[in-house]
Amino acid sequence: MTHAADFRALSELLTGEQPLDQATADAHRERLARHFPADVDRLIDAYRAAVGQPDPGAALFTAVNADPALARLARETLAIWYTAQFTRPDNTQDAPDTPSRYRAGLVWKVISAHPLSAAPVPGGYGYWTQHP
Amino acid sequence: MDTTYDVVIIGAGVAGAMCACRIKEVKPQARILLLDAGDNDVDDDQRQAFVDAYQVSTAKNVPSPYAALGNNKFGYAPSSDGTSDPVAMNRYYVESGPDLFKSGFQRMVGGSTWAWRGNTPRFLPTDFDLKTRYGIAVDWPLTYNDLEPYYAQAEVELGVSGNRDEWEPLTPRSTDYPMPGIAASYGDELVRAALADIEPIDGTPVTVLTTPQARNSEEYQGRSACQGNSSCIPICPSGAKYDASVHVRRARDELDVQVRTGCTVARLVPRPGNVSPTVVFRDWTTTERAEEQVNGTHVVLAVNAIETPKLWLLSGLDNRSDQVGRNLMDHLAEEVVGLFGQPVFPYRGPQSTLSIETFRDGPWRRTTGAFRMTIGNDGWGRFESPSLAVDKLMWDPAAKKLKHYGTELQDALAERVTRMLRIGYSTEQLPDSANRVTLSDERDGLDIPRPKIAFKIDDYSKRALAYGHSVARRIWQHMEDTAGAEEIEPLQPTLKFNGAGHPMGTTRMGTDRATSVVNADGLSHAHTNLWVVGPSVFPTGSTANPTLTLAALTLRTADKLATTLP
Repeated sequence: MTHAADFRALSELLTGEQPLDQATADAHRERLARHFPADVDRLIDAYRAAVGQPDPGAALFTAVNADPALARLARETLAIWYTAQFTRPDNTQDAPDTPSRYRAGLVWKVISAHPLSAAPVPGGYGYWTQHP
Repeated sequence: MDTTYDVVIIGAGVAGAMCACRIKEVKPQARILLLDAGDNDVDDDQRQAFVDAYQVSTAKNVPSPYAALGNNKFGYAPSSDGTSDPVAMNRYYVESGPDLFKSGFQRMVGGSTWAWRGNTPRFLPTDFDLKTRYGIAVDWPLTYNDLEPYYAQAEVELGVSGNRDEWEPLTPRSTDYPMPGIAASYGDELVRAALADIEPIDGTPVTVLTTPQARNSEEYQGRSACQGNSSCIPICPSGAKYDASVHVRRARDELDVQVRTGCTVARLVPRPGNVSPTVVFRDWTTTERAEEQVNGTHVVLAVNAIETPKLWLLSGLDNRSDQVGRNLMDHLAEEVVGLFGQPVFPYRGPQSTLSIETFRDGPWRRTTGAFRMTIGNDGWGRFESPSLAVDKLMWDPAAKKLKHYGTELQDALAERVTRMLRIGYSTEQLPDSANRVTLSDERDGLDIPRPKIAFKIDDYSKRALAYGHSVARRIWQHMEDTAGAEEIEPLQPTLKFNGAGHPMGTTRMGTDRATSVVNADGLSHAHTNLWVVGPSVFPTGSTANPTLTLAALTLRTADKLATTLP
């Protein structure tokens, strides 16, 4: 498997969302790699080691929590999938790269809402009176 | 350009743009110039650009859609930042304390209405005579009944959705609202049902009403019904929420008002004789940024409660009353949050649709400020965003380890955020002459002095914040007892507050030129043909969001001004 495919696969384990979009995974991986250049490959290595375990997700979870740098990158990997935004090593924020990536953040779907400033389609006046 | 006009209006926000339209409608031959420091457009493409900027911003705060506007980015007539972060705020305000004035504004064509929530309750009749009724503050030089016809007209101008039967007892009306009240959300109705049987609090009933809003509940004047984008603050993508781009477009495109943007007024220069001051400005979009000047038979200041006194003071206009800049007010706001007993599904529809108005007036007002309460439809609002909830659920900051991942994280997030509810309270602040805008020694990008603000929260306001917390806490207690609510906080009053974005006072109206700056018509006591519109003319601030009242006063002032034109 390639780095690209493995990053997407480990993202699916971390987020519990499947399938994730490969192009989005590539963009997220490149953004993270710019700020965590050494750790992205190590996270992928941890995934490759975990994938052969009986419960790959649990194995990856255990592996990243045993290594503070990997735990941090796993956190930012979740953040970028949920919000298209993450915290850089210097604690500044890395903004969503495009409006569409912002709108594709997982958080909105998980909380049964829609991205703020992007009403649901179909929707229209009064959709909010109904149970989602 | 022509340098003589019947009326020069400084500021193309709701007050200035609406003023221009009204004068032109009454006197179609009037030559009107409308100046604004912002250089943004007011069309659909501009709105979409603001939405895009918001979506890719990191903070998603009030100024995020507008931060790239040249006047903000390069400091040519910058806005204050509209955040409660003192460092960010002080990029424009120079604050001497002891407390922080936390409310900013958007200095742009269309003004702060681009970023408002759209709530348009009227002031209560009692708000106009606090001195007579409760022995506090000052009375207005006009009454609710004087203003009522203009309230009705302002509601048509803005396009207000509301339910007359709910509001008639509080604020008597001569007309129906232009549109039916905004539909409450699924979660709002759960909350309303949970509060249906709550006992009065300290003898005051807890009555839930549909907030009147300048947000379309049906197509109105060519704008669609609300699409429920849930981003009213800071940007409405559909334009269903009123903003002053409506009146700027009408003035420019239909009424032949000359609109010049990117023009920052540097000062007003009094002229000899019985005429209004000369307006000196610079077009910062030009290379030279050279000073230009223009004269109007009348000059109208419409640049909010910070910029109006700043401009007055830096121009050295008559301030023998020493009232210009004083009595700065806001509505200090706070909220009590919790998890409702079942999902209320926030972040769907307008950010709030329901309110509790019964604590806006009562005998306690002699000693303790009143407050308006809102039921949020936006989760925990500023208290905890969905993004922050994700981080809190997945990450243990002490151990620096993941706590949850996968579907377990999804389930925890859904369980928490879909139950998030906030009850906000926005309190009354009395005028205090020591709370004031003056000029600082620091200058903006056009070498114009930045405003210096002295601000102190007095005991009356602190009691209002404490009582607001107490009432909100007891409402939550009822929901805890009857509707499974939990995780309520803060449990004790903190006296922390947010700004409501409602700067008011600083050029107040009154009958006595020794204690006020303009008369009840908005005309300067000291200068011929110099008028002020906007929230700076408010003698007191009530508990109501100020836009509808300032719009009503603007229409009244515009009518008075128009009668003097040939």
